[in-house]
Amino acid sequence: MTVMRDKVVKDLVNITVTHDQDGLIPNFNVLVNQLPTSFWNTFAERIIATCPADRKPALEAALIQCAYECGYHTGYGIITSQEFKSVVMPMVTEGPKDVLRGAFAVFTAWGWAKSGIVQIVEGEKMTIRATDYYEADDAKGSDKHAYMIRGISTAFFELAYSDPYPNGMGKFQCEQVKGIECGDPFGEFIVTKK
Amino acid sequence: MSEVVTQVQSKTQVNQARTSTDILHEINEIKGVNAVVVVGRDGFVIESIGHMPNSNLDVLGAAIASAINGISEMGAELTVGDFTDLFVTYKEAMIMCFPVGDAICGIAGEDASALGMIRHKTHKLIPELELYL
Amino acid sequence: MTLELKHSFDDKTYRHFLNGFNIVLHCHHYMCLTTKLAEDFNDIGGTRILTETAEDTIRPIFDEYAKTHAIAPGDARLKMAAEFYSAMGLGRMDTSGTANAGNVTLQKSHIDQGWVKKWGNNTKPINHFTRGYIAAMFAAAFDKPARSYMVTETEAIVTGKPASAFAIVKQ
Repeated sequence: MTVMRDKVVKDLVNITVTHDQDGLIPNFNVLVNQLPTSFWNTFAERIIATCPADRKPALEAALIQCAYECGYHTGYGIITSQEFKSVVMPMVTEGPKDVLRGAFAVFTAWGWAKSGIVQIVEGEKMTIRATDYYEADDAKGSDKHAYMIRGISTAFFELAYSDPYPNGMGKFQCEQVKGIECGDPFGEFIVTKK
Repeated sequence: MSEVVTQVQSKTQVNQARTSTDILHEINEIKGVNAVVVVGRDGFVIESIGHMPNSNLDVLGAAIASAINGISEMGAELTVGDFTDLFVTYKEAMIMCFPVGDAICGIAGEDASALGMIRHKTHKLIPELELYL
Repeated sequence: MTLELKHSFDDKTYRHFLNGFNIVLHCHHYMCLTTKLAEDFNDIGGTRILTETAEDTIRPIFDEYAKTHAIAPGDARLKMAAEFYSAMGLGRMDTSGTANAGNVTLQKSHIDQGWVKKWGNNTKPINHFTRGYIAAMFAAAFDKPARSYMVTETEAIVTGKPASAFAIVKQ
């Protein structure tokens, strides 16, 4: 037995995300929002288009950092949540590897990217592929720009293999080697040690 | 001698240019094959090509992973080593599975009439596929 | 008014839709860090880009709902947009206004409360997203084009006030 992502996705998409009387969605130890993907994409696209070339690397690093911190804290909230314990943990038989499989199933269920693990070298390296992701929508150029997936993949790997939360940040990095946004059939992301 | 070196270099260059997608295409072109999927043990379809008349490839991937996980457990219980090959026929399909590293390659066809040819042609392609994942 | 919200999930792409618009779940960390990024890059117009992007990408949701449900211009549309604010998990909003000016109060705010949770209070307001949201809301309510309203955050939960307040003026 290992984590079967199909079951996780089906179980989690059936959990209705509704706001409380304060108009907030507290879940997984965070406040959740549900905004149009066009908002996130358009913001990234516009700010990059406005940025002078010499500051573009810093801006891209900041966009990745947004998702990285989000992925680390929310990821921890996800893998320690009651939903994860009841849906995913009964299928975990291979330790951190299975926890990561479960985390990427949740990543998929939340609508971030239809993505999963291609290969893991435990504690060293992970390859992720995404066959559909909103960051590739309305792609115009040849630049790879799945900043959110890069940040979150790094964070998830650190949650599985770095020092225990909250002390495990800053040990790994993620490179995007393929992107639907630049004509590849899928996005591919490789997490390695810094 | 130099000619041999050139041939080896040329082959290496060709191999470097190949991708997992190329190999999947090559398998899918074998007579009798309808679809090829590479699927993680969790059922994530890493890559796929072709189609199944009565289902979709996400469902095929999830079903293959589920079956192989059960078969692997059986192997462990019987202490007969890792799974190396699975072949199953249905009234309207045949499915073959091979381990590809930590993942599984599933090949679906209409029936078993071309089984020998499929086995023969995939014999070299499956290990090569592993190199590109 | 109770919004008719239709959530759907595409099991081929694994995407979520709210009344036909592709949406995605994110957390206060992501939103607050994006807000902080906009502030850090304000010399190239970061906060303006954030506000305008919110206005431009939220507006179609209001227009589509008002059209589909025949919501009359004015107060009914403001209330509709306030309910969408809660549906998106952004907080609780009270609104009043005309085509020329208005006021919005946030009793609860995803962005302010998220910021406080993450970094503590801030010395100045940071809710640039909601300024854009409110601009879209008034423009949709009174059938005006984008950038018709100037929205100023006059009080903010993030600075330690009990509620956030926004003043809206037609430009």
